[in-house]
Amino acid sequence: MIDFDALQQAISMVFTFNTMLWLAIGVTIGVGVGAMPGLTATTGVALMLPLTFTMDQAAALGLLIGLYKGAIYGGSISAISFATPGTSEAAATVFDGHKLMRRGKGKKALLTALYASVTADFLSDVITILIAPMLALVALQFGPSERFWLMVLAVCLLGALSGAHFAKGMLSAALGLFIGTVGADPVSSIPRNTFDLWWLADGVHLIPLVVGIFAMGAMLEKIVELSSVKQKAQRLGGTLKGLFSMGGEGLSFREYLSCWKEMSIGLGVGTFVGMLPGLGSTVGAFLSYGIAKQVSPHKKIGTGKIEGVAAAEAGNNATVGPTLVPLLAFGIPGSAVAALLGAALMLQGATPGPRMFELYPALIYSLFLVLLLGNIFNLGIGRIFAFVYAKLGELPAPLLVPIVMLMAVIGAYSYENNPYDVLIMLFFGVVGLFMRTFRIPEAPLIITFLLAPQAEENLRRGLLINEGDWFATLMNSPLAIGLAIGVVLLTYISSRLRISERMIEMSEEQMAEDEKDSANRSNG
Amino acid sequence: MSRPSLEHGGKKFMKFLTRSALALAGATTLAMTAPSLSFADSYPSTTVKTIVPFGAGGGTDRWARVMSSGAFDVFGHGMHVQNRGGASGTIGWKYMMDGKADGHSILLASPTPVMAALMEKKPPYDPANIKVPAYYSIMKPTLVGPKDKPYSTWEGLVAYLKDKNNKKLSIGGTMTQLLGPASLLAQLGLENRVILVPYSGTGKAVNDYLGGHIALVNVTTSTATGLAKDHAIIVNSTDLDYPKSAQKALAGVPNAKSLGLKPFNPPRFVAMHPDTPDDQVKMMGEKIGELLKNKAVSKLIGKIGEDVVYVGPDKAQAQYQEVLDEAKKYLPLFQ
Amino acid sequence: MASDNTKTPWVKTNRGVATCMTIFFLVLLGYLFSQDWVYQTQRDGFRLGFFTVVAALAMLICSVVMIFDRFKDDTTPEILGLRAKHWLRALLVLVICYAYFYLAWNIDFLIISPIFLAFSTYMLGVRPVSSAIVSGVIVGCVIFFLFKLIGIELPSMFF
Repeated sequence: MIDFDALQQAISMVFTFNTMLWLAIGVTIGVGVGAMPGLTATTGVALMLPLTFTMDQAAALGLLIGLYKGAIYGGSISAISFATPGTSEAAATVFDGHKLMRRGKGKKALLTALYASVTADFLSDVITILIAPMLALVALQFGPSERFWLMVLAVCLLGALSGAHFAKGMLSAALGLFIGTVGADPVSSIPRNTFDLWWLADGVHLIPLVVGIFAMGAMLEKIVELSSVKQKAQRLGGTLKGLFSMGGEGLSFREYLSCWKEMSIGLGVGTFVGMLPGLGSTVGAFLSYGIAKQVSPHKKIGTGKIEGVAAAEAGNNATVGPTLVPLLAFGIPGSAVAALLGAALMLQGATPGPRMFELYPALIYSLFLVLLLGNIFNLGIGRIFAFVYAKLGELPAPLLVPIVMLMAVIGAYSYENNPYDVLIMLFFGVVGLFMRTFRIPEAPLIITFLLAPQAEENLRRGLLINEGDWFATLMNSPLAIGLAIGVVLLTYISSRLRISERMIEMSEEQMAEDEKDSANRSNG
Repeated sequence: MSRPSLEHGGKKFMKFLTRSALALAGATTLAMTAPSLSFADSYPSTTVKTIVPFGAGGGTDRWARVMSSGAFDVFGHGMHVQNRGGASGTIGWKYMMDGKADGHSILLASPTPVMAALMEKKPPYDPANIKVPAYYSIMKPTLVGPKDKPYSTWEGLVAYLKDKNNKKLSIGGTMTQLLGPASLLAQLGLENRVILVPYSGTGKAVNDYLGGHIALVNVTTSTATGLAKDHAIIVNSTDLDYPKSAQKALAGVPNAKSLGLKPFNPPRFVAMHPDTPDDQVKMMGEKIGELLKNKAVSKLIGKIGEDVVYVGPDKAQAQYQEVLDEAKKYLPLFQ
Repeated sequence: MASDNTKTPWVKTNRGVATCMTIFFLVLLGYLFSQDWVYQTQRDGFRLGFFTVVAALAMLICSVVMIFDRFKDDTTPEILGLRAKHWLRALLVLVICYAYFYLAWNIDFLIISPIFLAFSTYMLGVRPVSSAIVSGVIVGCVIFFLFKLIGIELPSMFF
């Protein structure tokens, strides 16, 4: 089955100084791009694509894939260090990562993110290499009906992210749905809910939304904090000196292993989400985080646990390899980055598609090798970056806040060079500030914002195809029926869980009160 | 003595005057003609601001990067590519409209911002109000279907749709792509026998088609080439032949011209501010033509799986107007 | 969540905030219902505003529920510390950010950014002024060159 000649050729192409150098450059730029709020893997790959015009095949793949991998991991660095996700897929990492940082365990969180990313990425690459064609066939089974149910299932799974106060979680989800309806109607393309602003005709994009709610929101909160406490004048000298000293609690091998469950969840969810066109790594991260939280309530994910970081980061990096599945199996790019990698392959003279394996076996093998090698580079280079950033996170707030705000402005703008995106980002900064002060969880908003429009699109597409027949649309195939049953079961189980959680909470409250009473009595 | 000398002097003076007048006239004529001559020779006289109304990495962006790689050789100046994405390309278009008509700013447009403006109740600009110096390509929406069905050929498809006992057929694709078969079928009065299912990208539509969730899919040339081995290629809705690289795989596919129907040719075109003087529009159109002929540029265009269809300044504006009218006619099918 | 404080002003409890939100969402719904596009029927039978109205209704229901649920008297420490002036300050920051963006992209990134950074760090309490200025210049330049390295051109006439 393995074409050894091609493999040998691929090895001689990949293991050259040139390829290794470009791979290292790719990962370095990628981690940097990822760590800057608003700059995504897509932007990075798009910017570097023209450079590959003149490169040889393996070096071009090295640069782009290295950059892609680096950027997906890089987002977590600033998420942990400054509560500002560098990319939208790292937004789920903020919840536990930044809490760890605030407790002085930034280094531990960053290392968890790195190891979880690399582990899940590596394993999902292996899965991609071994069973890409099979995975692709599974992905094809998902048509409009199946996707609709999948989205509903995902939203139900995320009940866990709504926090203790259910109504606030739901409010956040409804807000996400509301923002998601801004823009073109999925069937007629007529603009809706745009408040008569023509520049909203295409809707709100994820980048300015996430940068606004997380980065700008967090910075505004910091400003409020700084201005409400009578501050002593800050002197920078001493704190800056501290930046260059090493230290901080690392991550032990035992701790790494203790996250195996979360990493497996991330691997499974990420691989699955990655191979379905149009979902992407942000959904992978949030879904994996939500499921991990639901599966192990005793671990108290969300309160600053390395398991939360591991779940989110494994979930987003595991999408990297599988994103290429539809591209390699059918020539269909499943995501923007996959489309760019497809373009790069075409520039190298290989049209992506099912015949690639026959026509360009050496190129395919070098692609696989680069996918795997990229992880090793990510591990090494990511470590260096993690330490530098962990230190930057300790910068005094009066210096850090303006820097992050400036980056947020640049990030929101350079996403599409659209000045209105800056306005949108600033607007959501206020929304973020309100949500923070009123403790409305952000995760449900992001999730419904991402998934609800897709659910709507698929539902209505299904109805169009089936000429308005609801039953045929919703119960289109055994898979759709299975997913629908899944939704019902999940809703039932999670409502039971919620009730039992509440019972435990109430009994704990009762016990605490009893104890207080008895203590009072004994004192008295 | 004084008189003749004066006369002489007068003659001299007259001679001088005549000469000066001639020289002045000549200089004026030169001054009047020279700038336009040198303008044509040295046009563009500075960097060409090239607005891409989409983010980095998309199809139009790739065209821009490839074209700009040959700009120095052809223009004598660079092309400064600026991505101004957002709101389906309308932000970039509006940016061009708000800028100056300096003859050195162009927009690399596609049908997307045109459609977006047509969808808007209060559009930020009138898509008809621009100057079109050139087309640089024309997309070739191509209908693909399964091989083993009665509708795997154009004749079969028409016969199938004419038989009212058959179910309607769903066709997936992006809105621009779908306008192709929509216009062909509408000419035969069959537009209501198909369901046009819009997708945000060709990839998603092909995915649903391969999974059997929609009956037919309308795709780009390069995707059609990839699918040709195992699927039936039914029709090309333009009146153009496929590029050389695709002719082998897509041999024998009927197009609008061979079917005697009016084609739908969605263009990739260069747009300029409506106030740009016509001579500058013309010169820009011609320069774009030269740029596309540049060896290095055309080689790269082939490599990114695209093909050049150049329509010069003499025809581009009229053809654009025609496409606009067609789009307006068939867009209500989606609403 | 702090819930024991009996002196909490009503408007800062969940119930107070939820009441304000309820009014806001009622206004939003009123606005939506007054719009023509909401009623426009699409070719698949859905009204253009269907999902938007569903979302707005869901937000309204959630805020009404918050007025009456078991957390109604709770509040958050963040909201307790918040004054109107803080909101004003936040809005001012946003205006400054936009002004920064406008100026940096229309004048020069390398001139405006250090000014913005120095001004902000000074306002947030960095002393002496020279520290604020030096850090502003250094950070502005570092960011500029970092982005240049990645291939993103920030507007400057110097480079």
